[in-house]
Amino acid sequence: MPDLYVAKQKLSPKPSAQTTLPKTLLAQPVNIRFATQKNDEIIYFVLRKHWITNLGWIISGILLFFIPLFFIYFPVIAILPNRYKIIVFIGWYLLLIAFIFEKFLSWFFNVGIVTNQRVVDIDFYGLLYKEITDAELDKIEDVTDTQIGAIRTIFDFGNITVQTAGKKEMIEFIDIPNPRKVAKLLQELR
Amino acid sequence: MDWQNILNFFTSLSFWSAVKIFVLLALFVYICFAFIVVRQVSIMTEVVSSQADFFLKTISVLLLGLAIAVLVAALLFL
Repeated sequence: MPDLYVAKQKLSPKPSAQTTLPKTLLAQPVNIRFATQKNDEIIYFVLRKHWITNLGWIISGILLFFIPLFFIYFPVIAILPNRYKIIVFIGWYLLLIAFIFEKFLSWFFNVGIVTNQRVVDIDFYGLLYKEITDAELDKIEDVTDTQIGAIRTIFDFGNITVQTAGKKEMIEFIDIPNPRKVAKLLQELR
Repeated sequence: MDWQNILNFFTSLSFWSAVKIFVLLALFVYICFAFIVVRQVSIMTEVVSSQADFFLKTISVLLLGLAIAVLVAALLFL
């Protein structure tokens, strides 16, 4: 009697040794977990926007930090009593702290996570809206990397679009470092 | 308090009293915003938790504390 055929359990491969993970990626992080992570799910890497994408708000923050030095030249502020000048000064820095903190949070928590089972895209828009999209690795049909413009080419960052089978929407990672290597890794993993 | 009383209250306000009310209202709105940020950081760290959780939560709570302190100072000294 022939043995019952048992299909080998499909195990998702780890990224191969030949494809070295880019240093700008948070590769195999130990202390990061996400809400829907399963017990047997291992995070291979975490994708965040390239640090250069933060340059705009960092420069704005530095310039805005020094604006109060020029308050004495604003006639509206110059005529205020001293206690109101102090309030304007404190209010300015409260708004600046809020601006910088919000921008940092937006960068830090908008992540893409690649595990041994799936690809997860976590997006927070503003203060009150979050979106978590995931796709299993074996459902990935196509991985496209796009790098448009001089800045993206110089600093080597771009977008990755992961097209999945079925009705699920596609997953997009925006402005992530080393998009070609990440695309190659995703193609290996699927 | 009818409409006439409310109108009388506003017309009897001096310029600096009106400015003070505006500042206090702005600070109250900021406290609401800081409170939302505390909640937001809490939700974000639940979704993606890392070593930075404690640091970020502390900053958000300090921001709320600072906003409340400024409102109290404005109430006392303006």
